[in-house]
Amino acid sequence: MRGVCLLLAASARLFADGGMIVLHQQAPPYVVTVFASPAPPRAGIVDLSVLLQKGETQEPVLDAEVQIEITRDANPIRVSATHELAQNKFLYAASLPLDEPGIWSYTVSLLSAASPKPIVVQGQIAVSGKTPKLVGYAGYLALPFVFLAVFALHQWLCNRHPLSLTAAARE
Amino acid sequence: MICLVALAAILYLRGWGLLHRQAPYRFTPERRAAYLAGLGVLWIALASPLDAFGNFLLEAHMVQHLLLILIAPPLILMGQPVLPILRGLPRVILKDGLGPFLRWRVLRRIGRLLTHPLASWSALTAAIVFWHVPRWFELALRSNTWHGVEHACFFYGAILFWWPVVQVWPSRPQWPGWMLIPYLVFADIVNTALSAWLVFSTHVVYQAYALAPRLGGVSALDDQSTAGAIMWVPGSFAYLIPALALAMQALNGPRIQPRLVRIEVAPRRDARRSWDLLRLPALGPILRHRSFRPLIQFILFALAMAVVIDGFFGPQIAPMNLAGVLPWTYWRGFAVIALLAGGNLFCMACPFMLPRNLGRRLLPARRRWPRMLRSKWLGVALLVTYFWVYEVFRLWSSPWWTAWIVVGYFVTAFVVDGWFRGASFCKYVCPIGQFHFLNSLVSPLQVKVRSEALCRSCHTHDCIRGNAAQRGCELHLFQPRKHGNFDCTFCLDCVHACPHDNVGILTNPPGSALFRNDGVDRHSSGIGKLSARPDAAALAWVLIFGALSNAAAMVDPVMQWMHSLQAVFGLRSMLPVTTVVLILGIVAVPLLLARICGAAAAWLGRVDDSSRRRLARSFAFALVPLGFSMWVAHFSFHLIAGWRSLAPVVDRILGRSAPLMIDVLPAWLPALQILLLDAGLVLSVYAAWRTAHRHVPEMSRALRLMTPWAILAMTLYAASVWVLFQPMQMRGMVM
Repeated sequence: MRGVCLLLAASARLFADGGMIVLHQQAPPYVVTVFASPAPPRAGIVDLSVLLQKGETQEPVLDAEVQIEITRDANPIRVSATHELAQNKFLYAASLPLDEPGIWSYTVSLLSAASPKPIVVQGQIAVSGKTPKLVGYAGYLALPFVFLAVFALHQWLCNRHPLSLTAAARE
Repeated sequence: MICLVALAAILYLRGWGLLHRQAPYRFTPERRAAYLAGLGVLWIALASPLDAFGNFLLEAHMVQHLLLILIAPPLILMGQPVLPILRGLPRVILKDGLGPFLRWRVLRRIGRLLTHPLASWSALTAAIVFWHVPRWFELALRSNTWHGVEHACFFYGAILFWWPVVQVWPSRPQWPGWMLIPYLVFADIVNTALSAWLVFSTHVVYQAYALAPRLGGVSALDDQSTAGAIMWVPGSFAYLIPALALAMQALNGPRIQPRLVRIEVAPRRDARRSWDLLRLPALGPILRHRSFRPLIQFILFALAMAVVIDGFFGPQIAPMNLAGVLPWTYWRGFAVIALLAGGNLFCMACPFMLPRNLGRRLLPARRRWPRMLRSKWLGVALLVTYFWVYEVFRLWSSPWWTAWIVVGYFVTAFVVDGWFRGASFCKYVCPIGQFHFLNSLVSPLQVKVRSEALCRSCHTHDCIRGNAAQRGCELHLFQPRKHGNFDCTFCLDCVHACPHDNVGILTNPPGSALFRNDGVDRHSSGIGKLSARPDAAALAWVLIFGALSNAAAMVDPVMQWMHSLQAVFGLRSMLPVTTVVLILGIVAVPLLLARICGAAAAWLGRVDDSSRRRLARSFAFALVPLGFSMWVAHFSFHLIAGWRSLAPVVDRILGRSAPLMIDVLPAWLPALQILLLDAGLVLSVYAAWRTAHRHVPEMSRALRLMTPWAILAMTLYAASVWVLFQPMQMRGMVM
């Protein structure tokens, strides 16, 4: 019983959902994981969250300064990622206006007491187009109704002429 | 394009093979060669680099159009394609599907009208003239859709144009042969006028080519003149050579009429032809091997153990944990795809068989399952509880809770089958099993007997009773009287037990268990009539509405609405809101709709008022394909969008750190999801129609009886489409 209680206590240490992982990288002395939300990212406001862990103990680091810079073609966007913006307080989060679909390159800069020099990790994030519009799929949406209309006609014909095909082929 | 051409070739060749044996002088190898050459030219015109050059060079575009108008259609028609293609179709499609349309006089009159030389000449000439007007020609250059419409006008117009010239059998000529000479000559005059306009024009007619990058240093005006010359000279040959041949034929006297031939469609076979997976050359022996099932069960068991260990001891961040990724991204996706493409393959590979067998060895396993629990009610209650737990404890984002769920499953399987006889856990308890039992009614594979006659001569009934070497069906399904996949775990015990090797895994039309041979009104061994079981109908309602609710609960508008409810009522927790919304979504609303639709159907169909409940039970199963299609559309979205989710987890476990390559969502994914829902809706309405016909034979009453259910199906379809087009929260995965 004691073992079960210990197991419960140990495993309930952290619950998080920062979206999908877009980067998981060793950056001594840390391990950096970057999440993106919504998942998959679509053009518009995209949240990037950073989880910073100590490389040896895997403990989350909570006192770092995290800067995110992201760019697609030019005009990089620079923001600070903070705990205040994160739903899960182990994460550093920032909201970024990624208005165009495509591949965006980002740089996460980390400053903490444990490391005098800033640590930089880089990665890319694929941003899909905005939520597809239903109008673009009108043909697909009409398909079952066309099919059902043809079936209704088929049943009407069957009801009218219970003939065999062989007779029709002879004709 | 290549798929359509391949399909047209396959159908023709299949039909030609059959007809050539009956009428070799009419369906000759030359005709076959002409048809295939026509398809080849069509493919060159539409799918070769010619199409790409057409955007830069008018002459390439002109060659493409001439192939579509003057070469491909007459070659295809010379293959006499009508009867071979019809005979190439599966018999059921030809006789039951197309038969009524082929016999319909209105359609035949329309066909005769369209192939009348005046109509067919006008159709092609109008198409050519219309699409050479600069405004429309440039519209086709700008838009792929309109370009496709232009090509369709040319190709189908040309099919109509060449029809009376080739005189496709078995149609009859509507004009004497010599009249087709002016028919072709006048077409050539139009062609010549248009070509001359292009050749002698002093300016570029189509401005798109004036602005396009020039290939090979050819000026736009020279390109236009060459295009006109191509249209003029080879085009005129294509019209005038057949005119000359017709003139010589007219001068030589009337053609000798070919001998009439009677083409018979093959008589109906007694049994429908099915593929048997167990008799396939490579796959069959593997599936039948006694070690196959334990092996795949062991693999899934090992994966389940990995989920439990990582869920308890790994990082509690779902995208970084096996318990956050394997069950919620991969397992659910593969399970529904297996149901769609095959059958209940998850139960075949069930990892819980090992604790079940262990329980039987260590515990007495002698008691009979309590009579009051011999139904699906417990399974339905557990399913509703599972849906509630999933939302309230956010299972997708909690590896810890996921691990506990798996452990709970193992313990329950161990205790239930260690205490009770047979497969009580599978039949009455397992919510995953109930999900698979119900949705496998739509699957294309079924474990069933190969020959019913052989079963009638069998007195040992080993398939259910078992024998010294092999136990029989633990779920009490007697194979000769089994109908559909409900309660079948694909364990293949019956296959191994049958001394006559008379049980196979046979193909069926998807969903046929819902409507063929009395559908859910047919008595099935170990189940009874599904339509007479309120517990089974409740399972259907919960899973149909569960499909919609489960997906809806993760889209932004619904989540915001739930949060606004929480704010309105001043609640500190989301628990009451989630609970109430869920109970409404998968219990109260289905119950209410079932009552309303049952009452409306009884009133509209003029059936006995006391049969409302029976109607609600029967029609619940008709909606199963739609619910299943929503499960597939939802879970396949996660699987496709998150197919790389495992990589970072494996990297973490192996201590590697690698930057991830990420993809955007495939553009075809929304179309695939809608097509899945389309198929579900069509199959549901069809099943409802067949169900209505079973209750009332008259067409008008059957139509009225099914109307409320069809409206309900369409409403569910609309709601499902809406949900799929909302921004979804991906739960614990990586792209």
